[in-house]
Amino acid sequence: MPLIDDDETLLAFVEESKEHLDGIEADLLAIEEAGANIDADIVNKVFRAVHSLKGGAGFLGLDKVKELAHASENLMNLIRNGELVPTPSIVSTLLDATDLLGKMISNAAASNDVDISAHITALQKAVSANLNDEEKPTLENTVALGTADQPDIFSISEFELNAATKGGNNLFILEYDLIADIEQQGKTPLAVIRELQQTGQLIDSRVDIASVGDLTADIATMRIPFFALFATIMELDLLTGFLGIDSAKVHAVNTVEVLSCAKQGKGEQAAPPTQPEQAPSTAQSTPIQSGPAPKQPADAPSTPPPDALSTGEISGQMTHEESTAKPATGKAAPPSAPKEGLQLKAETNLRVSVKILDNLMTLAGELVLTRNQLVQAVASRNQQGVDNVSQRLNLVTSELQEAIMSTRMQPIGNIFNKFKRVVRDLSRDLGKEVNLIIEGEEVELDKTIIEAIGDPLTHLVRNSVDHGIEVPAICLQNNKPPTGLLRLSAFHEGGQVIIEIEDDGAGINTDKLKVKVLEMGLYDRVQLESMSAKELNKLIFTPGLSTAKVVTDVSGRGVGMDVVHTNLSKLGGVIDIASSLGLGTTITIKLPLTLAIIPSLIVTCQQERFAIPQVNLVELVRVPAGQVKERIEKIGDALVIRLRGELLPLVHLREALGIKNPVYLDPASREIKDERRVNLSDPRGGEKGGSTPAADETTLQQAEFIEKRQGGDRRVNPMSAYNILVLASGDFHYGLIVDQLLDSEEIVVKPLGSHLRNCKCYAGATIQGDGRVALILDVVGISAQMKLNMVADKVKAQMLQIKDEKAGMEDSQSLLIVMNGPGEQMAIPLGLVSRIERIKNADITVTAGRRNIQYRGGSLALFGVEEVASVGMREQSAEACYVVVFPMAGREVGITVSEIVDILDAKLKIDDVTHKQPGILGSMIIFDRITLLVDLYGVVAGIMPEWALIKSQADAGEDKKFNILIVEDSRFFMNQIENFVVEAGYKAFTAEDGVEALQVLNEEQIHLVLTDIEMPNMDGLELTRNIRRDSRWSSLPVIAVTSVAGEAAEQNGRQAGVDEYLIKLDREQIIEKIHFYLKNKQR
Amino acid sequence: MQQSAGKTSQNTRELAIFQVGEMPCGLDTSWVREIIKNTQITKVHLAPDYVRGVINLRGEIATVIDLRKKFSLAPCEDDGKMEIVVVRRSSENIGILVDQVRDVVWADGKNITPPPSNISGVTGVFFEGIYKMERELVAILNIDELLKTGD
Repeated sequence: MPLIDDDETLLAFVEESKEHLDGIEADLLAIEEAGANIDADIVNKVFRAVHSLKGGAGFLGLDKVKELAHASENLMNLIRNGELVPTPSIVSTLLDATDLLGKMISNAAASNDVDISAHITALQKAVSANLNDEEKPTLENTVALGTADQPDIFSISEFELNAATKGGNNLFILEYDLIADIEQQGKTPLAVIRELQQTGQLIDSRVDIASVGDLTADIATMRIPFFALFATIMELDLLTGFLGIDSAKVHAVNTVEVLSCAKQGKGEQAAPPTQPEQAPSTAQSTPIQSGPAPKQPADAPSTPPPDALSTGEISGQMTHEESTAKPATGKAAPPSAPKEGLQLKAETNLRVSVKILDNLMTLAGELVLTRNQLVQAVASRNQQGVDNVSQRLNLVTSELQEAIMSTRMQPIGNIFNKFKRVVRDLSRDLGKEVNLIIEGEEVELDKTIIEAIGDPLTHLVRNSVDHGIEVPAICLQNNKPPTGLLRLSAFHEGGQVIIEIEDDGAGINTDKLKVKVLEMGLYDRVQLESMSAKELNKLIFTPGLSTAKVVTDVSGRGVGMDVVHTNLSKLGGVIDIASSLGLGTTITIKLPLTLAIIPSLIVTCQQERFAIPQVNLVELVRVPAGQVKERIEKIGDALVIRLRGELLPLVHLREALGIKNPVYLDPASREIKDERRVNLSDPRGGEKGGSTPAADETTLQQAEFIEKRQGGDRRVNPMSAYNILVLASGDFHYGLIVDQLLDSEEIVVKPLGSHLRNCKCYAGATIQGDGRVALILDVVGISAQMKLNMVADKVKAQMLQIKDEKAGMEDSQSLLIVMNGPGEQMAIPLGLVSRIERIKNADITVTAGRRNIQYRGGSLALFGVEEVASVGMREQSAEACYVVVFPMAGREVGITVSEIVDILDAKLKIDDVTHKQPGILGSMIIFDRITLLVDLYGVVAGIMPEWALIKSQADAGEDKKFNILIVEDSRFFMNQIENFVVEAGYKAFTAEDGVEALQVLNEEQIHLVLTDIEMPNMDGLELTRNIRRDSRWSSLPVIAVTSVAGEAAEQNGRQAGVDEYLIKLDREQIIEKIHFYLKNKQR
Repeated sequence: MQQSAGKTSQNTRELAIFQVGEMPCGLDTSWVREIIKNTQITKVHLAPDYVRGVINLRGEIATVIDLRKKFSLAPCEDDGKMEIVVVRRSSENIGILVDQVRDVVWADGKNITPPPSNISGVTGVFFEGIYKMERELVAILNIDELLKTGD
């Protein structure tokens, strides 16, 4: 018979079956792992899942599916009964069958045309292998069972019959009428089936649809017979009482007779001898009930009995529960032609929890309400109302967006769990033992991402098993457990999802990689030498590279890893590798949560708007016009910027997009005009305040004149400020120069048409609030387009060179540049500053001659540089000023300044003579101006001397005079540090570099070393290493003082053996730590 | 334009006629989804030169192809008057920028001839035929060739 003509039922069946199959695969693997220690729960679960599948397939006429499921079930039954140990080969057979079942179900319509004989044979072989010779033929012999009226209701193999009656079970055929016994009793077929399964074993069941009759039949006499073949230990009378059905409906089956008969018939369809060959059918049923009857049953199921359960309902539930409802007609079904329209694609459907749907409904309701309010408010021209509604709309929309997004979120476990199988099969093929640990299955990601990362992840996992994990013999050689460890984990971090693939295998052999890369001529030796371990590891993503000795079919063909890299980058993912030879490899992938709606920054270039995904954005840097010249440089043809001591390749968005004719917005006419010059304003005339067009004109002419005279390129000319977006493109950063930064927006990503596929600079487009289209820039694409990675390499080379040159030069120091008195520029070491606050002048209160401000529930004492030093007064007329907050003597104090100018890294060439005075450490030149370096402690000490008292050595409870060696190459800092060390009561020794320091150490009894890091001849790290190497000084405390504290730098220091890492001018900390280490003597 | 069903015989085609430069072009109306005017086109830098830009078509992004560029004709002097014929091809909306949409006509198959290799200087591959109207010749566009992505 053909399929039940009910797409919905079939669809539900397919969906449910897929879930079952996924579960089965995982469970089978667990069974295999357990081996002989069979976990009855899992086996039962698998058994029931297959059983449900069989039932559903039978119901829908998917005969081949039913047959295959049935054969699997037989095998599993043996495992369940403990008669068979699930060896890997048996599990493989079952897995293969499960795979095929999955394939057949995804194309259910054509499933009856699939050749399953090979699998059936394999399954039967597995079953028969466990049987003795006598039992073997029982597999093939089928036995017909039936009642007196209907001799062949069921047809099962003799083997099954034997299995069912084992242990003294009695066999019954129960006859229910779906209408009278079940429906009218208020029961459901499922409940009945469940009831039966509690008391015995339900071997088979069928609904005799053929005997239903047609719609013309009298409704009172209509019946739907439902037969169940049931094995139980109960006796007949007990059973009828228990089940509460008429004893006439319970037919005991005499198995001995049946079997003997079957043996006589040698597997033929022999009816039990106690029953007549052709029994007259029951009066109510139509005569056609068995044998191939392709015509009639075709429409029988499509006209379901009016008051019986609808077929959809049954099949919808049956896969959840164990149901064996199975139409009798399924038996005779000829293979039906595959139907179009039934070709199902799983990914077109999505399961959404009812809770989310309810939430969506509520929000939709809210939205309608809001619309009504908006219409009203607009109609009544109620501005206040419109404002309220717009606020509400904003709220509802974001919530709605969130709710809809959540429907797209799926647990990553969906793909993670597939790897159990992948790893199992692969490790078997490769003769390796792998223990796969999966963590964070519940982490959710957008559906599209989940789908897209499947392949790259599979590749990485296969790669880890193939290249990473070692075979047991080698593991033992390397003192590792023979079973390799592969850990797959996912977790959230900073709005992204991190996936880690970690193995304890061989690790990446970077030497081999180097050789290979050299062979391929991708890099030269010098380049390789300058690469960090991380960069070397990343070489495995180079196209065409493989270090595998032998090309296996698993990996090692040199394709793949680069594709993985590209595919993940396309998703906005970042991939990182950490590996140590012989110990293992960890691959870390960072992925955005979703792709459909992304937060992004809107920028303009040539009056056109572009969106840049926030995920790529590292920071925004504005280089004021006055600094363009000194901070932006050229290496070869490439622009670079100095950013905190690093060189960053720069690119003009205008150039990246190949815009040839610059335009500008004429401020007067609001029209876009062709620009004759690169930039309009001349910022050297003062960044602030609008200059009149006439003034502009003159400065323009001047600029032109200067330009001509210098004959230099225009880029270097400081024509206007640069807005630079620092972007992360894969593993390196670059700066993108744009005209204007507009806004941060959440944008909906829309794909671009096929004609624009080749434009690598765009990741898509989005529609803005005004309906216009803005293009989304592809950060990786732009860097590829401009070949920035090559620039980055050049920059790196340059950096190395600079570093060499820099050795022995002054350190650079992060400085906060402020204005206090009019035109008086000051600098404050940034490392000392906790916060910067903007306050209103009116909020400052004066108590007992001291200025204070209410601040975070307490009061903050305010000081001004001008109160101590003879510098210009702060402009009091302004409405607001800034407070630089820093800790001192266990409390926070603030210094008022009128304006914050910038933060920058400057090489300190401090003149500590000319402007030295209380509160001022010295002066330097920044932005061509004399800038006073503020002594924060000095300012406070000048006003509140008691706050600034340095705890002397005596206060710390020390009697002995300790000797401290200060190693510092800058005279300014040396003086500073020496001063407060002596002030604290210690004896100070000085050295200008590491070499000198070692000499002093040799000659003097030194109790503690304070050292700078960047020094000529021997730097602080090298010095520390030398100290640590010498047994005399192994416990000597070493404190590193530096101007720029970074985590990486700190880690380097700690590795070298530094005890403490402190900021140079933070004397409180330094003194405290000196006290601490000397008190505790040993480090 | 209102034609009886009888005219929809095998040999009759409904053509949208529009002007591109000096040349009248025809396009089978079964392709045409809509015609829009006065919409903001967002330029796409680095795109093939015949791509005028992208537009917002009710929430979808549609690429706009400049027929003059495609046919290597001089650019239009007054861009503002140009119209966009939106066609749908392989589940993608594409706008075709034309000077002016003129009419929709029923073309009798016997008045349609195969294209010469070259029509007013434009390569013949873009056309699938020539429709002879009373006073002029209309080049029927071969949409597949026209919208080929070229790679």
